[in-house]
Amino acid sequence: MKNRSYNLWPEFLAFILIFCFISPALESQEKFRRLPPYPEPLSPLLLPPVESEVLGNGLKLLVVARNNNHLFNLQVVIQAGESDSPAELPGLATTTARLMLRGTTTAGANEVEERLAFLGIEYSIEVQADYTIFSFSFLDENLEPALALISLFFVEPSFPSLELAAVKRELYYQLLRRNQDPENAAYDFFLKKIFAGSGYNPGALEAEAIKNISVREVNQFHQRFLRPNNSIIIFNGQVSLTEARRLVVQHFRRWVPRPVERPPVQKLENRDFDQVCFLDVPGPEVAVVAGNLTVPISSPDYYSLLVLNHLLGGTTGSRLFLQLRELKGLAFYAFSELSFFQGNGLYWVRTKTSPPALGQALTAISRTMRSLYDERIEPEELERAKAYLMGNLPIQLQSPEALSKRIGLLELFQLPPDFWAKYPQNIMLLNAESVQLTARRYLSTRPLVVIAAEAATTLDYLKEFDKIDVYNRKGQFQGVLQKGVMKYENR
Amino acid sequence: MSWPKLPGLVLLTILFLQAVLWSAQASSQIFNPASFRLKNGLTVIVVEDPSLPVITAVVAYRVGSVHDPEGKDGLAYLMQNLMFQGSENVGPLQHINYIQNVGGELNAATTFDKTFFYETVPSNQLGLVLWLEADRMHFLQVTEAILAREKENLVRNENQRYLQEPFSRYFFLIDQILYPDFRYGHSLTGTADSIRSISLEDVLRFYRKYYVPNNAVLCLSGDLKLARARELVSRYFETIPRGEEPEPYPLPEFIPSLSARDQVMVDPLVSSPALQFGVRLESLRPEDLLILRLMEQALVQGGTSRLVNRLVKKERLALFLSGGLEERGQFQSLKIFLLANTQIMVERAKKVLADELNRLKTEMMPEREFLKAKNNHKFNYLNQMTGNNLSRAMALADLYLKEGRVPDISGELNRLEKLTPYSILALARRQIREEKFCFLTIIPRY
Repeated sequence: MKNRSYNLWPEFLAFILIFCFISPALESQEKFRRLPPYPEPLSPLLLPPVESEVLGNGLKLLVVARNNNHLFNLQVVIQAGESDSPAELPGLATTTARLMLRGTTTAGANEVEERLAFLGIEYSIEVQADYTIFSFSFLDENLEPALALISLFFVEPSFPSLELAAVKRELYYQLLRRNQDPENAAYDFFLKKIFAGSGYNPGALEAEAIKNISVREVNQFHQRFLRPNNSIIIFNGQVSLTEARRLVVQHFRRWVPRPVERPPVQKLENRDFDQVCFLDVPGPEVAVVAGNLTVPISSPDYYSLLVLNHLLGGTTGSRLFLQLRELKGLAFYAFSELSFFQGNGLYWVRTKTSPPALGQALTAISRTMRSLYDERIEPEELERAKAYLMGNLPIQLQSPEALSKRIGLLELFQLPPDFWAKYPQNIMLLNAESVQLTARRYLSTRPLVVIAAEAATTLDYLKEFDKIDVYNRKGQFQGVLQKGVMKYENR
Repeated sequence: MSWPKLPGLVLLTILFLQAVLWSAQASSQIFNPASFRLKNGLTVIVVEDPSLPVITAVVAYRVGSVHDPEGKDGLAYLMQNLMFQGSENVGPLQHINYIQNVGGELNAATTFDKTFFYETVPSNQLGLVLWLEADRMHFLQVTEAILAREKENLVRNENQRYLQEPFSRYFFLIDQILYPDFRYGHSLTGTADSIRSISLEDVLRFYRKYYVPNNAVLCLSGDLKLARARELVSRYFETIPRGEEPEPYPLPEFIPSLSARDQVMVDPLVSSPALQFGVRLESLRPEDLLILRLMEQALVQGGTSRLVNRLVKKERLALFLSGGLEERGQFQSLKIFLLANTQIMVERAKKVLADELNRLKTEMMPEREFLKAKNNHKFNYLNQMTGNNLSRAMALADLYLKEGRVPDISGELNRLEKLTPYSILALARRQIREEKFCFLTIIPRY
């Protein structure tokens, strides 16, 4: 008995010691900390009401009345962009738009710049394939003088030749810098290739072509497309429709309408691209862009395409990033994107890798795309993608500039006014079958693949490929690489 | 009082009352942040904005590179990355996944004296954000393996950045000239040697000392109610123990007055000559900061500012110019960076810079130029405060840590209205001293 009692003491002490160590830990770790909390019910997405009116000269006025903001955003959206530039002058739409803020018939470039700065006007100009957006933000107390100045850019631009030279120079060097990044070079080349022969310019510019733009062409472009009856003006701030109408009539009534003709856009079908292009771009990195045609934003497939894109490569939690970077270490990143144009749409995968990993990266992209139409999409993954899209939209709409732009896009692409309000419920309705069907429709055909890298260091890693079309850094065809053997074009 | 005067008095009274009412309406349109403090010292600022079903949470700690222990440069910056590497209930990088899975966006930033972590999520996920932030405030888990990996990532990224942007290291070198001591003058990102010398013990000591509720502010902005926010914040943060009382703001060891410096460096990696300019401003009063902002606007912000106008457009001495004010504790510095075609142009640019700064104290700023600076500052300030939830929450958290009180938005705008061009002249006369100008010329090796 004595011995037994003696043997128990250490055990008891050990128990006390363990208890002493564990109890603070137990205390510090409350139960509710172990798992994330359940979300509360999601508030509905209620966007501010939009009122509209078409004025005498055909200018459409949209008013988004917001009261809790001392800032005003004004956007002028022109239904013309780079697709309206002549085929031999890509960049004309961009040059014209930039030049419009470089002087008017009553105020020189310096005066315009000084007046913009004096009123504290922050502005941006976005030229896409199908539209151009001029966005101006300022203090709402400066609405009247700001509008008086901004209207001059549209009503009486002067296009001074000195300023044209400056705009062309800026744009030229900007394009040269842009194309030093192999991903930009690959994307621009991809756009040109995928729309080749359609007569449609999806917005790819060429540095050398900028040099050929003259004041005459800028004037003609302005006369043809920058007309009030081809434009929308969006007021976003503390203003009523009546007041906005008064201001627009007062300042924009001299903007003369003219019939605007834009050729109908050819609808291009998703097709099997039996083509891998190699673009010689100097530098140590390799960029790959691969994609195919889909449908325009107005298509019923739009929502399932959004979910599909998210599953494929929307974020760092999507399949491409996980496969190529996290699991296999083949790429610095890998994402996918959707682009929408008048009458057409695109999906495209983009990745940056190194020459030795290029072959495996291409195989991994192909397998990842196949997995979306060949294998079952797990409900959990699908719900995560839907939750992301529904949750992210309101975040994208926070700034007045972003909200005005989304509202303008509804008009440009002829979408219903409740398009963004109904977005969450349209995403919610999707199931795995509908997304997989969309994947089969658009991902199962072979994409157009563009590789942008330095030929001298990369082509050796592409010996396994049956046929690769090789282009120089200017985009001129050089020859075909077949199983590692380069066959130059006959000159 | 005679009767005939009464209608005039009534009219005046009505006009006065109307003016008061309008002014009350105008100021009521500026949001008013609410705030409360938990028992453990965590300050919470809440702004209710129901315009969209979105909320932003910013957790800002009063810790930055000024708190790096000597020889451990880059520790505060490294900590920013380690805070994503997992805590008791959240696996490594799971923080990012939790936020992305609900459509949210997140990031972090470290400055000289503050570190910010922020998330914007759908408003029904407020609980999730608070759960995540509370977990890493109290239960961060760092292992030797994680630390080793993050240290190497940091070293690699910095090396890559230097190769891609060779001028980047000169932004730190001008700091060393302006602030000649370790705390104030060392680089935020550290050096390869200092980062590699950071041990797990350094990290844990730093974390326990600074990442505590009484050294932090939590700012919530968006579609939420104060009562619910208070309830959830209390649930997740109240039981996190208070840390050691934060030490007083580190004071510099250098002598505040500084003689002019003019240094030249040759670098084979840069492609054109460049100039880094800096001047330290000290003994500032709280009301000077707003005037300094206007001075900054007039000098260097935008294409029509004095320096851009003269150096880039008129005299064409610079190909590119940027700059602005930077705060370090009790000091502000005005820093300018410019690129030029030749070394001679840099030398001439130095004279123009000095000339333009001296002009601020010898000439009254024209009224129109002053109004322009005011318009731009007011736009920037309101854009920050009302543009979106993230910019607002970041600005409020930053101002709270700087001033130790919840910012008064209307008060700031009223103060701005009262300033005159003379305010700039008077401040320039007190602060601009040519003998304090510092120049660092960088020349390529051809």
